[in-house]
Amino acid sequence: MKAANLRALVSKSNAPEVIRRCQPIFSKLVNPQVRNTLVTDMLSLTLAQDDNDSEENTQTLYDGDSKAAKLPTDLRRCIERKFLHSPSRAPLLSHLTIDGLTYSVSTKHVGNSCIMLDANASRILVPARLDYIVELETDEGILTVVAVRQYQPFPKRDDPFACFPLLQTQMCKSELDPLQLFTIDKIRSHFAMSSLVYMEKDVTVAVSLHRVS
Amino acid sequence: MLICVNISLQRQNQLEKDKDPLGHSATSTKCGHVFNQEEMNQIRSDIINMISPSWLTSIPTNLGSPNHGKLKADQWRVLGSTFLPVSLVRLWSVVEVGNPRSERCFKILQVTLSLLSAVSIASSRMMSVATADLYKQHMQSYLSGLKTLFPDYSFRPNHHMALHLHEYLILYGPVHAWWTFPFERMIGMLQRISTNYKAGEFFIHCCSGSNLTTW
Repeated sequence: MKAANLRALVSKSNAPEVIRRCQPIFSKLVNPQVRNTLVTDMLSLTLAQDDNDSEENTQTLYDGDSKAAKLPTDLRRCIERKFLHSPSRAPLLSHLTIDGLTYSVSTKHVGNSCIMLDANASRILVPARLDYIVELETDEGILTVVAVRQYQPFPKRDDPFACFPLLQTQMCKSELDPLQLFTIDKIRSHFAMSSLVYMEKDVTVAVSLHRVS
Repeated sequence: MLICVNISLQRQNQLEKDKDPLGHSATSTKCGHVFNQEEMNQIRSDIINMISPSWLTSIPTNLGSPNHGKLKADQWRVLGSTFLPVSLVRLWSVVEVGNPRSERCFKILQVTLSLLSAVSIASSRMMSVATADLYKQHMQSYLSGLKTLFPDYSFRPNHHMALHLHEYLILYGPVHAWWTFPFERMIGMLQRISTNYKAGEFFIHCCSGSNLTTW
């Protein structure tokens, strides 16, 4: 049975009572908001299996409140650098859900704003802080982009985690790069973040939660 | 309260008695304890201060205390793959020359990271023969290191089974496809549902009241 069929099963209006009564249990099992790592694993695998019918399973959800708002100055400048011009108002979203994982702006949820980005050609994921999610009108239609600040890299020779690449952990400087725009398909996963003092410097340790390796 | 104080004093006395002049006590590993109190405090502090996404399984902030009960398998995995590497590398990766405890802790760090690497590979969502071989290499490195560092430690059947995982990873692919955690999770949820201790009556009642066969 396909995952999409299973999701629809409990929602059918003519479903027997016994199935309908199971809906809360089923919803609890697959609810991405549940604080449990196994559920996200199951969701990711389910979506990977359903790649063939991708249209049905494009799990990118947005929050309902997407009224146009005045864009902050730093975001406008960033959009201007990328698209040469920027609207003064556009819908700003507080979060979006991709493949069952919720990504939020840093002012809403710091943990959910820690994202690993596939930002360059080297395919090495870089940690960044998600500051804005904005919908822009383009010739092709509505384009959703994220404005992020990347963490500045720490010198490799001083990074104690560099010897253990399998741990997917990297040390970064605490300072952030200027705001940059990316399309949402560049977001790969979250990371867990710890701020600490190492060799008398304030650093940030980013533990990637992207478990496809 | 008095009983707690007495137990604590007895435990302290036991630890003092177990100290030996050969330097093992300096490593705090004589009684199977690797961490000293200061290190435990730092690990707990790291757990509290780490910022993580809302879906990540939470770890007890009083880790190591009997109050939180047994950790679940998923909690062990998250602890090992996310929290412990940060704390252990910070605490033990810089060796103080001439300090036996620091040198021993560095060896324990290497062995622990071999285990964590093996776990990371085993729980990867992609698998190949080369990856499975790498898993076996790390697991063997962990087990041999464990035997060297703790010669009196008796291996458990799980250590033996962990070596066989290599074959299963090659035969069946990523563990997510065949591990039993989803079933364990569902069983746990079902067990937490309030019942009247009359097994089967709810299901029979619901089935008789519905047209399950024609649906």
